[in-house]
Amino acid sequence: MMVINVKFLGGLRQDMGMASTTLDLPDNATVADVENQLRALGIELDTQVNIAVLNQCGLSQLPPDQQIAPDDVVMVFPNIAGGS
Amino acid sequence: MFSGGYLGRLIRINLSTRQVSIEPIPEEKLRLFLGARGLGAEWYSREVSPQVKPFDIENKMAFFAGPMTGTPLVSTTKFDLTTKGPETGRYLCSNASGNFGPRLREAGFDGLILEGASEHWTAIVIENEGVKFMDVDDWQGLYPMDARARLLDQLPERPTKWATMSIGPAAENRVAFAAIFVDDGRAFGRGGGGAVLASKKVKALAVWGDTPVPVANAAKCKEIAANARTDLKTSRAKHRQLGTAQLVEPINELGCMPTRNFQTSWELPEKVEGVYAQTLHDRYHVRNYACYRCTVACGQVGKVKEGAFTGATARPEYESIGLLGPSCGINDMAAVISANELCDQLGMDTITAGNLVAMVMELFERGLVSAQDNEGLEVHFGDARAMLEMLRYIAQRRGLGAIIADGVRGILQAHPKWGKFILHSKGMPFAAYDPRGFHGMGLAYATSARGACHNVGGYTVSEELMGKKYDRFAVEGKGQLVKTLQDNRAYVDSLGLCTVVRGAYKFTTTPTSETMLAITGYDFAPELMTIGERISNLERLIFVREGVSRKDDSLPPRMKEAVPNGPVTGHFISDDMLDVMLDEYYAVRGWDDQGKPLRETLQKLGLAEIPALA
Repeated sequence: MMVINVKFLGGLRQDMGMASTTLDLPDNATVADVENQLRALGIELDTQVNIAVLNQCGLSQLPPDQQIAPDDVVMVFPNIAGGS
Repeated sequence: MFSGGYLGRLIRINLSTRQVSIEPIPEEKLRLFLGARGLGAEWYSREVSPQVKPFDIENKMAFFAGPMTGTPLVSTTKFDLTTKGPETGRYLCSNASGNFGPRLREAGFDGLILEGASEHWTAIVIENEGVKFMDVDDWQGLYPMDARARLLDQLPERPTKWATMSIGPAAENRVAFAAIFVDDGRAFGRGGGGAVLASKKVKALAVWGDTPVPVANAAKCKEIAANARTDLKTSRAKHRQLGTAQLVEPINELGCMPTRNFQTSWELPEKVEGVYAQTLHDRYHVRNYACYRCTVACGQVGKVKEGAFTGATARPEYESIGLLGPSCGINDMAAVISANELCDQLGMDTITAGNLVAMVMELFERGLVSAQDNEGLEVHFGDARAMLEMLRYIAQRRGLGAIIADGVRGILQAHPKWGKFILHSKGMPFAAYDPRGFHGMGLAYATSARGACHNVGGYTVSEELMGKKYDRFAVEGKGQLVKTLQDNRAYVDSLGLCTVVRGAYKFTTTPTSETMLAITGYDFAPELMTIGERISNLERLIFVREGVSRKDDSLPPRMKEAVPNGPVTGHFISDDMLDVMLDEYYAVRGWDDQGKPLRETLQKLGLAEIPALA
């Protein structure tokens, strides 16, 4: 087993009621496993509502079978464009 | 061709003679250029010559609405300003929310053109087809909101509110990035439209009309509006909850937050937390702000209730926070609210103002200027009081502010060596994303139709994190991405619709027919992306006519320096990397290697006959 950190940023922190959490994953966990666990937390990933990032790359840009390492960090935040 | 959506006419006001005329807008132009930004570009190509300078009496201003502006749908608030702007000295398009666009349409017009210049300071009142001029020399020096209040005091009661535009002291002093304020909280922020209006001695305008904007199918519009409201409740819930300010945290965590004038692009979270959206919400939020017929209400009005900046009230958006905050070394939301409020009072663009105050701070840090150069005022990173004073100096043209007020072009003329400390393209400073962490933003800034803008240039951040074929640190593929985003944005800006809600109407790169059919009776959907491309190419033709070529599609020297800290440490954009992106961008656009549209591209888009451009 390994544990990775997930940070909730922006408005998602308020929705989740916490700034971060951890995911318990099997040793050979993949990007797809992370996505599934995030969905299980109620995070919408299948539309453009939220953006999930793994080690500074978009989670959806990575191969689903890419292996996860214990020190990996996930960030999730709402997909918002800036105003002035 | 159209059974709704357009009034098909504009009102032209000559300020020198006070003559007013009403002119038709040919249907074919509406079909080719849609409205707002598109119509503005087409008008500018005919009426503003490349020789005219921004403050010349021959410069003109056009305010065009789009076919959706003022219709009974949600967030149909936008209208567009087109003029020659002082910040870049070139074509300027700018859009704003508020009630002015909708009211102009209810008065019976798709567009308003101002030309000539008044002898005295003037307020213009448009009520349906009637136009009155008020001499308002004694309004000089008023803040935009006070000029608005003074104007409203003198107008008769009507069943709905009058809409207004007004300018402040910065515009009167010809600050190159002075804004035009719309109603009580929106603005044509970028590019210096306020200074152009001041050059015509127009302090304020008001408009009211009593004719609802016609639509082709009122029942269908009602149904679409109801569906959009339902969609927006969930799809834009986050905008309502915390506004765009919530970008501060992720953009910093992604290592792209301008800090200390882009010398770095990341700040310790425990410091930058002071300007998080959550901080704004928990400590300062008093209410949300909604534009015309908007159910999202994304504006977050904040008021400082205690401490040094007590009483300051503003509606800070992400860009304003980033550039008046961390880019100036300031991580105190109260200070940002105060600076935002002061920019609103003086009537200046927060993005350029923040950028140029940060530049002054860096000049002090490097010992390149001293208090002696600035009427005794030292301005250092992290010093909020000095930032506020510097903003006043700019608006009043005091100390270094006398140079800063002329914008990037004026600074470069007076002190060419300061160029390496200015983050800009074509004279317009960067928005609050460091392109070294999203290389597509670099191409967007370099090729935007008005300078380094995240809106007109194309907001690549989401796609660079979500698009399967993109890597945010790669240069390949960014040409196609930026072109697509720019063309999409060009048609949305021409509809008269806020970009925040466009998804609710399916105004994507593959738009559906329903909404425009219900409004105009014409199936625009198959043409919308082509219209966007046509507008992008026309704007480029205008730029080419005004001297722009590949050398101007550039990024500042700092982008070649490797980021020294944070998650994107070591990343940079070299000239060679920008060249790869430009080559791809020009190729997908159908432009030559200097960025000039090819004849076959113009023919394909129906632009070959545009006079004086080919």
